[in-house]
Amino acid sequence: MGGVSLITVEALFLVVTAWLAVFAQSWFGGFRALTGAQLDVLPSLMVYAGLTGGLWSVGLLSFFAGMLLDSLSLNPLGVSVFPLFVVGWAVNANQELILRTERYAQCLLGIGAGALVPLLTLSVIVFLMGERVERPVVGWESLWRWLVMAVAGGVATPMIFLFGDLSRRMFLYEVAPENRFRGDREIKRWRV
Amino acid sequence: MSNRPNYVVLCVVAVLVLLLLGLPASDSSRLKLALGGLFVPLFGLAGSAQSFGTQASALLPTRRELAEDLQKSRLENEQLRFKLQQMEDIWRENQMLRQAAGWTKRVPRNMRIARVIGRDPANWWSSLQIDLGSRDGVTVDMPVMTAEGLVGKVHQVSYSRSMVVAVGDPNCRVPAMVVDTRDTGVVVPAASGTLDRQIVDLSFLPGNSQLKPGQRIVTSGLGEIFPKDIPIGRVADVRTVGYGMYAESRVRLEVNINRVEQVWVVFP
Repeated sequence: MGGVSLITVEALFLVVTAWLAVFAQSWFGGFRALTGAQLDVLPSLMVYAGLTGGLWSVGLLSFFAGMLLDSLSLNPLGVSVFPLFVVGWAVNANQELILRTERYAQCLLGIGAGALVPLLTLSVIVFLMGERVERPVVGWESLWRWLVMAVAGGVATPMIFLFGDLSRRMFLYEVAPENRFRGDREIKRWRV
Repeated sequence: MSNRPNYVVLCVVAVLVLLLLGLPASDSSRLKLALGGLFVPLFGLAGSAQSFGTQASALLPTRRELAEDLQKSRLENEQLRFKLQQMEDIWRENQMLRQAAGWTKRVPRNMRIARVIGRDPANWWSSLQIDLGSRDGVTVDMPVMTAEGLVGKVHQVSYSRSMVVAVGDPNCRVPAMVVDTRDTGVVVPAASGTLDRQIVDLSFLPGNSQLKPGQRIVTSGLGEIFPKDIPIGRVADVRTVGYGMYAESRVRLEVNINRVEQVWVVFP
C-alpha cells in the first residue's frame, strides 16, 4: 500500500505542477512580449515525469496537462495530449540509458522535448483535424518561435529537475531497500 | 513481453485522444469550459494579488507627486468635458441630418469594460481571456475593442469569463473598409508570416484600388458581427495579386494584443 500511495502522491504532485504551469503560461505574458513566443513548460515536465515516475504517471500527466492546456487555448480539445505523451513515453522507455542527474543531459532532453512537442501538436491539428478546424498560420516566424521554445525547454528542464527533486525530498519519503539478510541464518555469538 | 505495459498505456492514451478529437464541437466546447473552470480560483487569486499590488503602489507616491497628478488629471478632465460637449452637439446635428435624409438613427454603443486575465498558452493562436462571462450577459460573437481600435470577438463564454479571439487569428476574419477610398475587403492573418503580431493582411480588395501607406482601415459593418466604423489599423504597404485581378494590403493593427490589459465588450 505504501508503494501505491507513493505513486499516487507523485502523480498528484505532477498534475498540480502542470495545472500551475498552464495557468502561469496563460497569465504571464512577459516572455511573449519580450521574444514573440510563449514559453511552454509542459515538455520539460514530461521529461521529468518520464525519468522520475512510471509510465502510468506519464500517461496521467500527459492527459491532464494536455487537456488543461487546450481548455485555455483555441486548440481543439485533446490535441496536446498525444505529443506530450510521446515525449514522456520515449524518455521513460530509455530511462536506464539516460544520465538523469547530469545537467547537460537534462538540458539536451529539454531542447529535444521543447522542439518536438510543438511540431507534433501542429501535425495533429493539420493532419488529424483536417478541415474541421481553422489551420494555424505557419510561416518563417514559426521557425523563430520554435527555436525559442526549444531553447526555453533546454533552460527550463534543469530548473524543473531542481525544483522537482527538492519537492520530492520535502514531501515524499524514499522507499528503503529490503534487507536481504535472513534472520534464521544470523550467527549468534556468545561467551561459553 | 517486458514492454507490454508500455503498449497498453500507449493504446489507452491513443484511444482517449481519438475519442476526444472525435467529439462533436458542442460537447468539446462544454468539456473545455468545464476544464477551464479549474482555473477560476487561480485567476481570482491573481486578480486579487494584482489589485493589492496596485493599491500598495498607490501608497508610495509623495503628496507632491499626487498633487501634480491631480492637477494634470483636472486639466485633462476639463479638456475632455469640452470635447464631449462639442461631440454631443455634433451627435445631435448628425441625428437631425440623418432624420432629415430619412436614414435610420445611430444608437450609441452599449459597452462594458473587462480585464484581460489570460492569453493563449499555445504559440500558434491569438486569443485572450477576459473576466466577463454569461452572468454579465456576454454572448458568443460580441465585438471586443479598446479606445484605440478593434481587438476581436467573443469566441467562448463561461459563467464568469470569456475567451476572445483576436484580429489576426485564423478564427477571426473581419470585413473592413479603407476610409479614404471606401474600398472593402476582409482582414485575415498575414499570409507571409511575420514576427510582428500587429501585422495582418487586408484581402479581396479590387485590383484598381488606390491605396497608400498610412490610410485608415475601419470595420465595414458587413457580416452583422462587427458594427461599422471601429478602427482596425493603417495600411503598411500594397501589392497586386492574381495578375492584377485584385489587391492585397498589409495592415498594422492599432491595438497591440500582447500588451492590452483592459478591453470593452460591445453589447447589442
